[in-house]
Amino acid sequence: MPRYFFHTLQGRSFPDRDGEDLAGPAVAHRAAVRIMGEILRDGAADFWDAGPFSLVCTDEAGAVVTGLIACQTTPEASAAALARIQAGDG
Amino acid sequence: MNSLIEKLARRDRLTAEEETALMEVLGPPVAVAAGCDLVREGDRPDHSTLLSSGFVARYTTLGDGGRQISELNLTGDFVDLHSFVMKQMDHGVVALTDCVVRPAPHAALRDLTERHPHLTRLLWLDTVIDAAVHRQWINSMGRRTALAHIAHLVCELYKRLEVVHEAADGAFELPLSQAVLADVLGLSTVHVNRLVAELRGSGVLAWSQGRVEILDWDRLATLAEFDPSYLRLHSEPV
Repeated sequence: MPRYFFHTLQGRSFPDRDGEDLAGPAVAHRAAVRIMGEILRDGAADFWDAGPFSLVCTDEAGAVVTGLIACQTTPEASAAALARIQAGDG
Repeated sequence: MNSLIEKLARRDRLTAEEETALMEVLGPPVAVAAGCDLVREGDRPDHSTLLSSGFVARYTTLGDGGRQISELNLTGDFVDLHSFVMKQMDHGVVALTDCVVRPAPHAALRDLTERHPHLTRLLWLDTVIDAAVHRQWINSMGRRTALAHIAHLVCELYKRLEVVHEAADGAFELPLSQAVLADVLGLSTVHVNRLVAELRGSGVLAWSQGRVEILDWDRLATLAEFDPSYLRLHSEPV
């Protein structure tokens, strides 16, 4: 199985040197969300102190497979999302 | 002295006769290589296993290939005393390091428990403490932060290894990979690496090459909200 690496950045950088053996890019995409969720769950305080949380998944060659970012949205974006929620959109 | 007897004797006084009876139940030592299963999920073993040295994990495999380790067993632990009364094992047991084990045939255990009610209660206490450890692990998984969870695990392993003289002066060998720790903690290896780096960075412990050195026990225990009473390390008649 190919190995994927999940590097994170939030104030400090944490390069992933061990990686995880996963079946393919689709599994790596799901793993990226799971890992991000795990770390965010515990970093509620860090999130507001250290700013946006970035995760970059790379393959063994170092090529980017996917990237995710969690950050506070602008008031305008929040208002737009709220309007869609209240309208029962989606 | 035998580490099992040492561990039991920490909880209640054993007579010389009881010590002898317990030793007679155990078969000769067997070496088990790291990675080998001692018990497979669904097995019906005819003996329980005393771990004379090494690290062993109880685990469950999930449909997607993921593995959750539900307990770590250390030197002196009766690894599957459960199978003596459970019969069919609901979980597997794997050697995480090279181990030495001694089999305790169920027939001999039955005989022992019929002749020695006090020893029986002590072995019962041993499995009750296993359950207490499980409760702490559930608390950690459900409600502690991941940092407190890993801190709690380090505190627990230190206290348990100290009883069998495999931890002293704040330090112990923990020859487990980050992947194994991830299966213990129910976290990704990436997250485990971050947590270890955070603990190191804050100066509460040093952790490298499979060796943990606790530099500030009080801070680690406070972070973990660790109260060792569930390990029942005091002597009191059962």
